[in-house]
Amino acid sequence: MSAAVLVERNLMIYKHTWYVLLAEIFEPILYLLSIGVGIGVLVGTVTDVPGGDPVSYASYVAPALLATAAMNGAMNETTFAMFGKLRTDRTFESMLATPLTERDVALGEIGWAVLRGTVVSFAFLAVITALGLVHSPWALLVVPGAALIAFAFATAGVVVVTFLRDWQDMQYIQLVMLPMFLFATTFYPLSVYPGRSRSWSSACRSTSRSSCSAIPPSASSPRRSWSPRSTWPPWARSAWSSRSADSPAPWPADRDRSASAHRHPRFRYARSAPAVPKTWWSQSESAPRRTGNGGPAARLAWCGGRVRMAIRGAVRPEGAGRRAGVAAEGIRRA
Amino acid sequence: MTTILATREFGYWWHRYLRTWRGTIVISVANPLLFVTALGFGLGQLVDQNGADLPGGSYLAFIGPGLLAASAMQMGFINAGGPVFQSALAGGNYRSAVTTPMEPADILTGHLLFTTFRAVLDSAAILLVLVVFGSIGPASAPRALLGAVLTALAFATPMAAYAITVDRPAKLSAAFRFVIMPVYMFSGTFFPAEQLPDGLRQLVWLSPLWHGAELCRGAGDLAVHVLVLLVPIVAGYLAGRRTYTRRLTA
Repeated sequence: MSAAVLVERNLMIYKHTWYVLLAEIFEPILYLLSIGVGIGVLVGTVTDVPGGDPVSYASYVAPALLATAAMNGAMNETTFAMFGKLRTDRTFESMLATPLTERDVALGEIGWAVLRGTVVSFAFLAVITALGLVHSPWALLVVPGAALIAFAFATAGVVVVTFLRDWQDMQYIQLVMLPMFLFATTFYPLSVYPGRSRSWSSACRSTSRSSCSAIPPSASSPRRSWSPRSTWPPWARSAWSSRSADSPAPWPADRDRSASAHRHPRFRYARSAPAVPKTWWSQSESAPRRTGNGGPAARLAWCGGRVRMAIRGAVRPEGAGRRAGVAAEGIRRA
Repeated sequence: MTTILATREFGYWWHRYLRTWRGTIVISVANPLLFVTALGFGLGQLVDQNGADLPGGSYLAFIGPGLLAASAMQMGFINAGGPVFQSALAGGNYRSAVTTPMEPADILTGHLLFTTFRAVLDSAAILLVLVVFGSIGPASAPRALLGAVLTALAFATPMAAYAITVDRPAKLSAAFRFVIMPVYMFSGTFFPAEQLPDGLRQLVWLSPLWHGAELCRGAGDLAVHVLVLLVPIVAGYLAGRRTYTRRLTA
């Protein structure tokens, strides 16, 4: 459980910067007061509540904002904060000099992000209780719910952060997160959408049994319950199959090598690594074993490999190429 | 002489912008349009079903101009906050510019010229989509553009005057969180300011964003709103000349 050490370390850091978390609660409260209460006057009550009586608009928006707070809290931690530790502050560099492994770092960061998201949503729950928007003690169940949301986005963020080349790339995260925040029925019920998208959306949310039956049985691989070939669009399918057939390495072949070559040497290493056959890591245990030709387990292994390589790639010496890059950087600085 | 030298500072930012404009689209254009789509069309259905009495008729017609002004405000803030702070650091472009015949006031003027240019460009792009959405009538578009540009400058000018004095970037993000966000949320962008309780309503009349939003909506007296918006612009410019001189020639 050495990952717990990292959580403890983050707790010690945030003991001094606790107001960062305060600011994180401030924003959903502003949204709640402005949109929930302000626009609530214009909206009145929301009648289309799944399995319940009509509620005031503020009560309708409050749980969605709580889920958003959990999501943003966790995602900020594993993208913004983690990218800073990976590239700018190089905190992980000193961590890996201790008995901590890359796996511990990744697990610890995720654990802390979940904790942070849960704490933020718990505080938000206290605020909306004080505002009189909570009507039942069962509302406490949103805390484990928020922890689940935080876990989902924290793990996704850890994978995403390994793809970022620079701080500017953060805006691509925004480009995904903002439409999701706005359109995922945060501010209005599903019924405002026209019919087709509503049924599609509710199919996604229904039980796994019914959604499984919605997928037509595919001709390929009847043994696997899930296969990318049956549900992915054609372009993704071909990309998947070519990758698993040609390149045994869990990274996409060095497609962006030329584009990223001018960037930081460390990053060039991370992306172009599979093209260089004899490096220190190629015989090591760090390359994730592929458990099959596709499938969720292999995808998970691929993601895990990426995370570990990103953390390690930020640290271990690469050899002459990297030293030359560091020297060049030193000259530039001097 | 002053104006000619100011164009050099404008040229610097223009040159940078030519290389980085793609990245700015997400924040300055896509962001407000996503908000208009989600709130105007999605939430607007609930508001219009409820039969709320809004200036402009539908909720889409209400929130479109409001978000235009609000995004101009954020654009002005973001363009004058971080860039000014970073340019004033050692190695920043202000440090190089001030060793030339340019005065600190020229640098400020040039930077504000560029901010104006960005405000016109971004607001025009948003405005175009809003006219297509039917949120703003084509006839009132010029007035809305004027309102958006003035709003951007009303926040950019005081912000530039402040950002040059700042020593830590955390202060800028704190200013965004605790000043810009509340102004954004309560200045009649999302709901009419008349709904607010008594004391708060008079406070909102002081907010430049409220005047900008009213200008964009075509409500109220044009001259009054423009005059009120000019106050922070002129005051910020005068203060900025002093703070720029103090920081850059020290």
